[in-house]
Amino acid sequence: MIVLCVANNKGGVGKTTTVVNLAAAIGKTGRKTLVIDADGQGNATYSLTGLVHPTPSLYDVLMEKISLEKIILPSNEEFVSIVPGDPRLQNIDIELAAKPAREWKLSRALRLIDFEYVIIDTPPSLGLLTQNALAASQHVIIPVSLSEFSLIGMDKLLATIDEIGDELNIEDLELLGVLVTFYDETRLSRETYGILEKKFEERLLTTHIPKSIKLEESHRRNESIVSFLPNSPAGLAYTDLAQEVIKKSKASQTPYSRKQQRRS
Amino acid sequence: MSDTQDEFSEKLPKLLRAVADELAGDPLLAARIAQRLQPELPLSLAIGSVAAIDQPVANMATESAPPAGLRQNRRSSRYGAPTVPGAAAPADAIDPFKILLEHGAEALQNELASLRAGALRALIRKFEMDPTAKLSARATETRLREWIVAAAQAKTAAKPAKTRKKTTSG
Repeated sequence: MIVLCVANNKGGVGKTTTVVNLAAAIGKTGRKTLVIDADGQGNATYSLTGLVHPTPSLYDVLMEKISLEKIILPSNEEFVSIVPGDPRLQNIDIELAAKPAREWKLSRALRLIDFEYVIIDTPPSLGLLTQNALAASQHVIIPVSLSEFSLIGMDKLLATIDEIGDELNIEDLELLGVLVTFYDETRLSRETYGILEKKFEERLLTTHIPKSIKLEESHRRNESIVSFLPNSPAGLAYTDLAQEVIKKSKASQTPYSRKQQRRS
Repeated sequence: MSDTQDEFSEKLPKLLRAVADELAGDPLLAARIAQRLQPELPLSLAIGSVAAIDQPVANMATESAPPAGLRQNRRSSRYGAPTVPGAAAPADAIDPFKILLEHGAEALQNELASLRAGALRALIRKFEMDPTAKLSARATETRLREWIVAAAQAKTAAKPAKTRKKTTSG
């Protein structure tokens, strides 16, 4: 089982869009994939199922009221299932604060499930939910939109991810790559892309996601772009991204069970 | 004093009914309250005692779904998530053939009206309603709904003919 999370404390960079479409594209290859919606807005849940804040959700799992495998829902995409999120997750930092091993709740919940890929959508913060996602993951993808503001705070984000990794003693958490989203053929985009290339070198994923209104349209339709418009630039980009992620994650894979044993 | 007592005894059943209705709609809250009343009861047992928490989540979501009219009035935010709480039934919870046979084409159309393209396509896939892959990926939601109704009608119309043939030959 390969567990990866899509994280960036900045909002509006395409985290949920990436999770939904990456999962669908991996599912299209016949690999059993689970999306975990750890964002209290529940947008990934809606996009993949049409359900608005169904309960029980990940909240109930993290509060240890129900086991994760009992709340897995089928999605509209082939080979893709989802653990839904709901707005109660937005306050979970406070509710989990006094609990022991509060950063490991998700990691422990994942022990009983069997999927080839688990992709975690995180909220735009570095709070306990994101920490749970990082603690449960072997890989992180950081989506970055090509706006002037996107570069500000990137160093801080990377440092924080490293800090969380050190603090929680996660040895095999790797940055799978930085993913450029909202790419368009403007001078500003090309310049910003150039800066990112220099900064991240091989850690910048080869695939970049073009800016496309069709991506939002596909959310409205409760289906992924790879199902709705597979041959559109965005559809093809997510198919390419899936191939790149499969290749990279397999190359650096460590068995999930081994990581669990070391931690507990 | 007696008036106040009468008023109270009149209001109490209403209050209890309202609380019971709320608890029926929220099994986890009901479980927490059951646990408060019986602290020695583990939460897992409390959950089991007050509600079928183990029933498929899809069913729970369907049960808590708002009336069809409300579902159709969903508004979208940035990522298309509607602001009306509750949920449309996931494609997995709907059997178009069963609905058509038991309630007719209009009921099926009403049921499908609350589903978006992704769920409609999942239904088509699940019930193998497009074996020759004639449907375009760009098909509109209206087209997908029409397709499902037509496919269900074709299949349900074909069924009795098969049965008759068997009966005749037997």
